[in-house]
Amino acid sequence: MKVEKMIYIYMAICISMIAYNCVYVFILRHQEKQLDKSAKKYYRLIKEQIRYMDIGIAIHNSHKKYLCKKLKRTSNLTAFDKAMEIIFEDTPEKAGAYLLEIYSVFAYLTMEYQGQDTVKTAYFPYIISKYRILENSEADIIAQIMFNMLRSDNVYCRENALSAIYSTGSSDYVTEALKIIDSNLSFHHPKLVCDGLLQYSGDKQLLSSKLWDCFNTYSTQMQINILNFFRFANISSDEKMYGILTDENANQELRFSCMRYFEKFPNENARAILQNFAENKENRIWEYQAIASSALKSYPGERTTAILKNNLSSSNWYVRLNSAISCEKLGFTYNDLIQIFDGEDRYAREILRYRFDRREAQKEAVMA
Amino acid sequence: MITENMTTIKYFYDCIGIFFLLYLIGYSTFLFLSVVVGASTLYRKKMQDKLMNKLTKNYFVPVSIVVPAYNEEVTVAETVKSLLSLDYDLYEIVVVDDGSKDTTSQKLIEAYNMKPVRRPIHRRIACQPEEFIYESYEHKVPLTLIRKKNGGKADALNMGINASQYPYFICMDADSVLQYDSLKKIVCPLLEEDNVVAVGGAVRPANNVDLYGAKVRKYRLPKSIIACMQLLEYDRSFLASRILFDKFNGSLIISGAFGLFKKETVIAAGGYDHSTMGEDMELVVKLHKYCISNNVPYSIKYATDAICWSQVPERLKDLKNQRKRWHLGLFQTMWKHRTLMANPKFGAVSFISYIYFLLYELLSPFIEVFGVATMFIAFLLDLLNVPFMLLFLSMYAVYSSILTLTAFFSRIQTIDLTLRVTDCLKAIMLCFFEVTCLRFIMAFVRLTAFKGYKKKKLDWGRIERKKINI
Repeated sequence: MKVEKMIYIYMAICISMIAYNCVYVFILRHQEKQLDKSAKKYYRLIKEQIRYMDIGIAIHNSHKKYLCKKLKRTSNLTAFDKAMEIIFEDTPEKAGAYLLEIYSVFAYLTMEYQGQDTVKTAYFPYIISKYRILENSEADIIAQIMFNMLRSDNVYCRENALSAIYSTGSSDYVTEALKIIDSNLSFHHPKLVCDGLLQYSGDKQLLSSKLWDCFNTYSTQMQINILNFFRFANISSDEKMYGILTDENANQELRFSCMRYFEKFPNENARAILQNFAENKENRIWEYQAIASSALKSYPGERTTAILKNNLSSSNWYVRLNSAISCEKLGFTYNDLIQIFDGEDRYAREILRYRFDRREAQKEAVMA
Repeated sequence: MITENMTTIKYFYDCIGIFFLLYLIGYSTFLFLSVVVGASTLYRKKMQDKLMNKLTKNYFVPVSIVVPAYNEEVTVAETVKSLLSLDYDLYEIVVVDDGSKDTTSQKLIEAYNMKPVRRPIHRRIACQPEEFIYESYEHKVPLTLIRKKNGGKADALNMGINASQYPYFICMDADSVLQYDSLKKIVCPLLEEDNVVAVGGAVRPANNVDLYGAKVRKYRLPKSIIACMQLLEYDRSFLASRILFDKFNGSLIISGAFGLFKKETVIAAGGYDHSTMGEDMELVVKLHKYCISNNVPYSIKYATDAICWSQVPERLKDLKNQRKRWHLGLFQTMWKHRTLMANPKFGAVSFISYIYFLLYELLSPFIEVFGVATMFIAFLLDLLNVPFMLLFLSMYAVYSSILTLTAFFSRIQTIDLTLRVTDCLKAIMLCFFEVTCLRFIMAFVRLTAFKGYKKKKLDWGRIERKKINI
């Protein structure tokens, strides 16, 4: 009868799971109603305080104490968020002024949320970032705790804390945050860093100069993220980029990033070196030749044409493909490349013919 | 002599009893663990979403969607239409027509005003040659149609991989619909963790679901009882085993209906295998083997919220054919990668995942049918305690039904679908039949899977297609 007993135990647990499901549904529905109710309450409270502020009365300490007590619970914080969202939409300036006044509440809550379950902890920096709490204040306490959150194992915690830091518009905070992310052993995807930097709300030019100042203190991966950020954010850094491009000791991924930069922002100084890479007389790895062949689409000229024509016959697929794309983008016609179309290299002919077919199809699509 | 024989028979039945006892304890424990882990994972995920524990910005990882198609003239244009309405910016669609005998290619060319191009294919994995290629640039993302010589689904997928231009690809079925947010969701594990080489999506039966713009407008359980029972089975399987296996990087299956893969790793591992019917499972097992053998750090994830709506068979005949194919595919994969069995080099993949699939998937029809047969013989020999047997079986059925329902309701609640009361009642009633009737019918069907085995090798496995209105 041992088997029966075991199955009875399993059944008991399963029935509890069904009960849990039912209770969960009930709680879920109750929570939705409760959220609406609480949000209305917070809306009234905030509006009342804003009215006091309008007539020159500062926010009362009892209101701040109430918020400190209540907003420790995420259910209340979500209701507060819901109410703030509506007020922000109606009167953004007044809402901003109110948040500035209750800065001390957020400073207190930062400490409270730091020690909670990671899912709840990650929610708090989201609120800080959403309402730009760090933007216009002496935000050292909150910022320091945001830095601590960057050391978390939880990717959402780090990501939301990073968003909060980007919202400060402080280049010093951002450079510091990147150092912490860099030193953290947990994986933080390069795309999150690079695309995240694009959210930075402050002076991007100033940020770029700060990032260049401490460029050598970052790991290679972080350096690549920063170079990619410069490229995506259209931040001019020709001189520094050229320095890396011509530095034989620099990491190759950094040099590739610079090549892509000079493809987007052509610079006559880079022309010769890109052409040399595309020629590949030094027998480097194929990536140099492929990326340079792509970059040459921004450097029209006789030597570029000759190199691209030659690269169409490369044994490497990507070199051939990128050269054909560059030929297409440079606006070469069938007559310009007749030697290749009539030549014996089938691979060169095929890839070029495809790019020309594609160009025609794209033109037709635009016309349509 | 008779007494001696009876003693032998009793001894034989004692052994069988012990075997079944251990077998059922193993299965019920696994089922229990997986439902508990699955349900709690889903609830936690829901809480994470509510508290903005998600990557909210548009971090687009470039993805190629490969759609292998064979005689899909009824559904292919609508499938592409749904793919064009995905909430994602950086992707392309590559439809591979595997030498269809109907007008699959023509339907697509006309519907999307596609133009012929003379495109060379970078053939990194072997596949049958292309016959013609069409492209279209009039839409949100590039659309490519490759018509090739017939070679089977794996071959069509390999062609799609060769033709894809992005570092990640998604494989899906031509009769499936990806939910509008499924791409965003399926790429999330790539951003959250390092070394992810594959991500499986959640496949849900689309029968009787009203989809508009790749969004669910109205959710109803399928009208067909067979389809409805499959829905319960899918929920148990997707909720249960896949989330549990995901916890220790032990997933051996990513459904061919919706999975994302890192192209370079798949190519390095050799791509899809033409010789097996379960090419989806074979690829995942091969990825485990390749990465472990070459010391490549890797993980294979399961995105519970990346949803693909797929038609499931509504006729028993179609279902039987589908399950025979699946079982053959399972056998071929397990046999091909038999070195995984109890091999310490492969860790949990070997000792948990492989053993589970061997005992509770591949051999289960044999064991279950053997169990029924021995029970019948024991009854004839008057060796069976019939009341106890009935109690035991009904307890087991109730137990499985409750777990199935837990899985079903957890899934419904956590993906914000609302069910009518009649649908809830339908699910409650049918889960018992699924556990008792369908399961045993399928056990007999899977037993006969090896009949005509050689003929089916490159067969696409047809089920009756219905036009999906999107």
